[in-house]
Parts: sequence; structure tokens; C-alpha cells
Amino acid sequence: MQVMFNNLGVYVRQIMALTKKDFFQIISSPMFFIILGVSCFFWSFVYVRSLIVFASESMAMPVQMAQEGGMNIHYYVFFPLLAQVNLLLLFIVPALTMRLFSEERKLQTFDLLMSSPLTSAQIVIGKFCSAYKCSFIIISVSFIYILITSLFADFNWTMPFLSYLGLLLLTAVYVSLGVLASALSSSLVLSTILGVVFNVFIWIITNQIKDISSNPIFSELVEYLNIPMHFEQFVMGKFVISSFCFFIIIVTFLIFLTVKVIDILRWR
Amino acid sequence: MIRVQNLTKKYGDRLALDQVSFSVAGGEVVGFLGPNGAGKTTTMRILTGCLAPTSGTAEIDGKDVFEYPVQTKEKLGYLPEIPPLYGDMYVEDYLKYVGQIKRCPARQLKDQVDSCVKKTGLSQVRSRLIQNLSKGYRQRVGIAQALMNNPDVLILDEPTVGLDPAQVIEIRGLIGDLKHHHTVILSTHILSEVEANCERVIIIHQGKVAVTGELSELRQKMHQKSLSVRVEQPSSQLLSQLQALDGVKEVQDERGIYNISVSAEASNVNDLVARTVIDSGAGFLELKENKFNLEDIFIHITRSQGGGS
Ligand SMILES: Nc1ncnc2c1ncn2[C@@H]1O[C@H](COP(=O)(O)OP(=O)(O)OP(=O)(O)O)[C@@H](O)[C@H]1O
Ligand SMILES: [Mg+2]
Repeated sequence: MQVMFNNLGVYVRQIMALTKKDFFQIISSPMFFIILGVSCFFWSFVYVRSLIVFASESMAMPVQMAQEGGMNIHYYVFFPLLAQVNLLLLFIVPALTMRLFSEERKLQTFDLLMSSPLTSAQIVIGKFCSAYKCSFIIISVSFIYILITSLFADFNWTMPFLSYLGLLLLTAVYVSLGVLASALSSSLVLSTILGVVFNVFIWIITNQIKDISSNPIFSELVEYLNIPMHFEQFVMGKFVISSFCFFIIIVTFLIFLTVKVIDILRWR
Repeated sequence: MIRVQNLTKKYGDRLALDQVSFSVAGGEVVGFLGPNGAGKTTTMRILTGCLAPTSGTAEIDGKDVFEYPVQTKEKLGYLPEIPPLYGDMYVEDYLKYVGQIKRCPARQLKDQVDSCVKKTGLSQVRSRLIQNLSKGYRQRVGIAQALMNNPDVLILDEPTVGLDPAQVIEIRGLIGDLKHHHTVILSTHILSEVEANCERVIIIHQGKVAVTGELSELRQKMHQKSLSVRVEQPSSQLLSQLQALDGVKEVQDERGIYNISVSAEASNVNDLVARTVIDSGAGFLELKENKFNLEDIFIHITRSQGGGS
């Protein structure tokens, strides 16, 4: 038991070392700050615009309606902001994940990982966590807008919190797709493009394939695999346990797939 | 300690390794030689688990590299042909990182970094960015990296490339210190390095093991003395006289220098040759005995088996 516990400790410490190194490599690059700056620019723009729209609309409403519509700040202000954050993440995340494997392979530093006592799963999890931490920083920055709003407006915190939980889960899918894309190619450009394509793909795929067959089992399956739908549950302020599980399963599956890709690289 | 059996590696259609087998005992330092493209790097990458063979097995300490990857790699230090360095990391952070992923116990990490830095002469640059280091210092960081987990088996792919002569001697000394406690395989093109460090050599050529053996044994096997005589007035008469001598196999005339191949069994040939030259009155200047060194062995083997690839 003691031995197993020690082994687990060693195992986790190795992952943490991997994560730390990649995390610092990403956040110390100028690219990270450019991304953050550009994102803030877009978000501020969207935020201010929707705040103005909200203000003028509630001005036009009768007092009583405006009061009970207090929660509507979520739809008028947070909703466009979330949409914007999500849109940018589609492109930001692949830019963060691109170098994780591609660069290691290109610079031949991958041999260090390969010849170290690490399993493929440790390597993939370590890299996933580092990119996820960076994405978390970016998402946290966008949350500042919500905090600022709370200074001058009263609203129910449940919906923003659940929305952000949904966003974090969705980002985990983006990150795992980005890590997979990075493992598939040793070219930075190609792995970024691949990552973006993957991310866009999950937004359009369900609409594209749902008409293929009218088989009820098929449409049920398509409905369950509908990532935007699961995300919307959270944005609407509903905590659906099956949606939560769905994200966890998808991310686990993608990490597993990447581990297999790394195993294949090893065997080539 | 290391056993490689019938290792074959194909890159697509190209056969890079063809049934390579050898073994290395614990505590041995073995030189891995071969012309460019012979398959040295390929063999080392397979041994360290970076590459899978098409067929054949590689064992370290009795454990198959691919069946027990983690256990075997824990005992392994590897310096790849291109040192695996991250330009945007500091030397010290990099070594710490390597120590952590190689399961160096947390408590010993700092001491281990210190000792590796000291062994490879990195003290002055330990707080600098790797991308700003010169090539030789990067190579040293690469060597330091391989030593971070106190490996039992050290696999070094051309470890002294780009180092200055003083550092070459230091690294040579370092490898000498590792002898007896560690098993070392090092590939190199500098043959004097092998002669200085290694007890044994494995020469590989076009993906096959051409020769393996003790260095001294190899010299014996190749034993074939040759003499060079320099005279003032070379003549064809002297040439035929020399050729007629007992124990002389062949004489080549190179503008006043006669290169004489001597058969291994013959004794006192030096004496005979000298006397013949002096008696002929051609003006004796110099008599030199050539011993075969590794270079000759190397050239002999790689030539006799067809040109390089
Ligand atoms: N990734 C690869 N894809 C295709 N062929 C390869 C690859 N790597 C090596 N080779 C081929 O395998 C053969 C052996 O190469 P290897 O790098 O092992 O030689 P080497 O002995 O290390 O040479 P050098 O002394 O130049 O370092 C060469 O013919 C090389 O062209
Ligand atoms: Mg090589």
C-alpha cells in the first residue's frame, strides 16, 4: 500500500514537472500577451456595446418590468460576451497548444521525453494541463467584466457561474482537440490550422449530420453528441448532470486518442 | 548489462540496421564506431526506447526495453546526437526539470543539479538562457542532462562534438571516472577518443556489426607490422634486394621511401632491412616501424566491405 502510494506520488510529480515547464514556456512567450491584449480589446468592445443596448432598452421599459427583468442582464450583456469569448477561444486555444508536441518533435527534444521514465499518458496529461492552465488565465480575464458589472448592478450569480463552468468544460474539449492536433503534425502552422478546424467542426457537425438518417436511435445519438447544445444548458443556467458527464467523457476520450497517437509515434 | 539481439530497422524500404547483435557487460566502456550513415544513432535510439525496431530485441539489465519501458529508462542516461535543449529555459531550471521527469528524488534534486553542473564545467553559465550559450556549452548541458538521474547505463551519441580540447580531455576524464560503476556506450568519429577511453569497440558498417572485440585483441588480429625506410638514392636494385628478404611480403616505392609490409611471424626483419640498405650504399636516412592504430583498422574494415553509403 505504502509502495503504491509512493509510486502514485512519483507519477503525479512527474506530470506536474511536465505541466510546469510547458506552462511557463507558453506564458513567457510574447504570443501569449498579444493574444491576451487582442482578446481584451474585442471583449471590451462587445461588453460596452451590449451594456449600452441594455441600458437603453431597460430605460424604455416600464419600471415594474425592468425590475423583474433584472436577471435579463445575463441575456443582454453576459450572453454576447460569452459568445465572443467562445468565438475567440476557437482560435486562441490551438495557438496555445500548437507547440506542445509539434515543437518538441521539430527540435528533436522529444527524444528526452521518450527516453525518460514517462508513460505516454503522463506526457499527454502533463501537456493538456499546461495548455488548460493558460486557457484558464484567459477565461479568468474575461470574467473580470462580470465582476465589474456586479459593482453597479445586482444580479443573480447562478447564471454567470454556471455559464463559466460550461465555458471551462467546453474549453477542456478545445484544449484536448488542440493537443491532439499538435501530436498529429510536426509543423506549427499545420497543427494550429488543424486545431481550429477541429474546433469549428464540433460546432457545425451536428447540424450537418442530423439529416443523414431518420433512424430514431441515430438522431438520439446525434442529439447527445451535440456539443453546442450541452454548452447552452449551462449558459441557460441549468446544471444538467448528463451534460457535465458528457464533457468529461469527451475530454477523456480525446486524451486517450492522443495517447494512442503518441504510442504510434514511438513505434514508427 | 546491455544485450541487443538481431536488431533490424527499416525506414520504409531502406534497411538501416540488419540483424545487429552485441552485448555489453556491466561497468564496461564501449566505443561504437562506424562511418556516416552506418546506423549508430538508429541503434542508440532503439536502445533508449525512442524508436521501435522492425524486429529483434534490446535488453537493459535483463529487461526488454519495450516490455518494461519505465523500469529500464529509470536506469538510463541518453545524450542524443542533437542535444535535447529548450532555448527559452535557464540552464539550472532545465536540469531541474530533467531531474524531475527522470524521477530524481525531490530532496536530492538540488545537490544533483550542483554536482552535474560541476562535473561538466557549467558553473559560469548555470543562470543563463540556453539559447544564448555557445555550441560547446550546449553540448555540456546535454551531457549534464544525461547524468541527472545517476544512470547505470549511459548512452552518448558523439559526446565531444563541438567541445574545446581542454573540455574534451575533461569529458574523457569524466567518462573514465564513470568506468567500473556505470556502463557506457559512446559513439564517436574521433578514434583517439576510443583508444583513450574504451576497452572494447563495436564497429558497425552499413547496418551490420563488422567487428566487435577488445581493443588490444583487435590490434593483435590486425597484427601486421610495416616498416618505412628512407634513403638518399633510391634505386630499383635496392627495391628488388628488399623484396628478396626473408619475411618481407611487399615493398612499395614512394619517392625515396620504401614501405615494407612484414609478415607477422618474421623476426629480426628490422635488422635485415637496415643491413641491406646500408650495404647497398644508397644512403640510409631513417627506419620507422609503423604500428596499426584504430584508424587503420577502421579504414581497413570499412573499405574491404565495400564503399560507404
Ligand atoms: N528518420 C529516418 N528516416 C529515414 N531514414 C533514416 C532516418 N533516420 C536515419 N535514416 C537512415 O538510416 C541510416 C542510418 O542512420 P544513422 O543516423 O543511424 O547513422 P549514424 O551511424 O548515426 O551516422 P552519423 O555518423 O552520420 O551520425 C542512414 O542511411 C540514414 O539515411
Ligand atoms: Mg549518428
